[in-house]
Amino acid sequence: MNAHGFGRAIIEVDGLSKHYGDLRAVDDVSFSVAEGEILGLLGHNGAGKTTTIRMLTGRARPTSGRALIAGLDVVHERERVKPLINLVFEEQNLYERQTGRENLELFAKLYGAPPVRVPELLERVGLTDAASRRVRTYSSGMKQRLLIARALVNDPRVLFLDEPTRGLDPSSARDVRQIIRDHAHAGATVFLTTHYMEEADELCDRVAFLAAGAIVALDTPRELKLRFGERTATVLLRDRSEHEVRLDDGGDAARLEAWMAAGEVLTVHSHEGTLEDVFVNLAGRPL
Amino acid sequence: MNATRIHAIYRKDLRDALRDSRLIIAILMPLLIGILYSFMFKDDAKPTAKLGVVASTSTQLPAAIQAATKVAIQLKVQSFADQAALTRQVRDKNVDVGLIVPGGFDRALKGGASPKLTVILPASPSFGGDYVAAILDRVTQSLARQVPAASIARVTLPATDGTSDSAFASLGARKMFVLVAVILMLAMIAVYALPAVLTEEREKRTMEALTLIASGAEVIVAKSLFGLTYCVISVPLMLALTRVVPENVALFVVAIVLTSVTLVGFGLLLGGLMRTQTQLNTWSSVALLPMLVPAIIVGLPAPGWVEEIVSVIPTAQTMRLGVNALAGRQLFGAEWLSVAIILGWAVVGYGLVWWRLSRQEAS
Repeated sequence: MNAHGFGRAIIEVDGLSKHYGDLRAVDDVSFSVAEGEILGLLGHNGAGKTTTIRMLTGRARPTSGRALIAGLDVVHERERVKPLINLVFEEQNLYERQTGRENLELFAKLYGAPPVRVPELLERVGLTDAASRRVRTYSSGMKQRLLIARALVNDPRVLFLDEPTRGLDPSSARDVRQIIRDHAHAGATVFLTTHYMEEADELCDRVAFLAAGAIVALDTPRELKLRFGERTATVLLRDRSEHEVRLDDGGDAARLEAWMAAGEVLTVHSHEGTLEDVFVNLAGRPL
Repeated sequence: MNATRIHAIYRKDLRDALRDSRLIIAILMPLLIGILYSFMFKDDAKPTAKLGVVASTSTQLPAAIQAATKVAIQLKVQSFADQAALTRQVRDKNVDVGLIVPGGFDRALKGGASPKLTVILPASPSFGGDYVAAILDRVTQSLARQVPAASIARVTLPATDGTSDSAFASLGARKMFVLVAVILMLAMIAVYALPAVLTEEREKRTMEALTLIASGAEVIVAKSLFGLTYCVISVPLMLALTRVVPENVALFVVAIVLTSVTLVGFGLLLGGLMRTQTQLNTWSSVALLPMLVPAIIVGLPAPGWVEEIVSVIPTAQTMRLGVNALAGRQLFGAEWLSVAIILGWAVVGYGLVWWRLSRQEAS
């Protein structure tokens, strides 16, 4: 058990870098992810999120450093790593002329999964009724659920998701988040990238902020908000005026104290910082 | 290599191809062209041949040969001043067969003598040339009304480089065009159908999903099998629909299988180079020309330098082997060389595919 209550590390990344000429897409990144943990990687476009996933899934060779999954080197022991992982791609890269069932059957065969796994997964993602329809007739939300079913076909110990809810309506996004949560509850590790701070806050056990290829912060959402977020309070006075005060600012705190002493305060609503605030503080601009 | 994974990808590609209008059209187009040719040209059109004659005195022999051969061929007769000029024309394949008729030949025949008649044939005689040479004895007997009529000396000229321009005449336009359509079909599979499958996988990034578990080599083997299956199904279909039956089936199968394997290798290479379907649409038509044009040139009279260039192209060699297989005889010599050239290209094609694959895996 680690400090956050999770088991031993299943992803271990040490000094991982990927350079394209002078461009440092990922620069000396180190972290570990425990079994059963959901880690979110947040960053602007081009911050290095997808490149990191590409290296961890063995699809790009690191310029330096190394990454282990279940103790296996993702470059030198790639063939042994492959059955342990799966990935939900950012693009909806499905075979559109094939049916939903045919798509899953193909990947079940590729991973050597039993045929019974296909109807199970279709049921799990709510696509049983649409299984015989060609994928080109699916909505974006249905395609995303099929992508997730495909990524679960081998019951991966580590599931990577690259922007899994991007472009989805709120209902479909909620369905997708629930499937991810269920998979993690079943003991698998989830590594996801996202643009949505609320999603990261709600879903992830820990969050890493990536800026210009480097990790600038990595902790639980709560701890990050406490350390880097701005605690504020909305104060409603007897004269019905509303004031925003920063609790960590000495001047604002004194002002609040004076209002309290004068009995002018009707209500006080305190707010902890958001991940968005944390990100702006660390990266210099919002996502 | 995992056979189950290769089979799964191969089956997916076959099923997908049946639902992909682009790939269906890529096969249907040459098939329809083949059928069209088959209806436009008839097998019973008489081949033409040219007889060159050197005769110092008047003779009825050329007219008698024309009369005797008119059922099978359209024979044109041309006179030449001397043996050297005639030999040159036979060597250059402007004349199918040459005859040196000695002076007083007709009188000698009628007098009961056996005058010497010299027949000059090229190294690879045309159907017409062979036919005239074969019928000559009978014609002279008919003129002399005696057996043996004349002493016939047959001179076969040494082989020269290049193709036999008599393939058209010997095989007939219908079979020649059907053979061209077969090669067009193989080329379409190689430069369009197969690369289209690969390009789509790359463009839609399904290739990345496949290689998350399968190796690049497994995907390439599956795609090769897919391309070969397309070839193996479409060629017999073309022959059946056009009612063309090779006289030498074994040679035809060897030619088609070797060519399919070779062109599929180049199809894999082309598919690997193209990033988008738009790029492929542009470049596949460019790639089609060097495959198709040499095959067409093989059946036509062409300058020596053109024949030399064409002879290194695999589809030209397929055409040569195909003509021989359809005719059931060696209209084109050195079949082993044709096989070697096609195999050589296969080695080059798959070598380049392997090189690209290793570079990709290392990046």
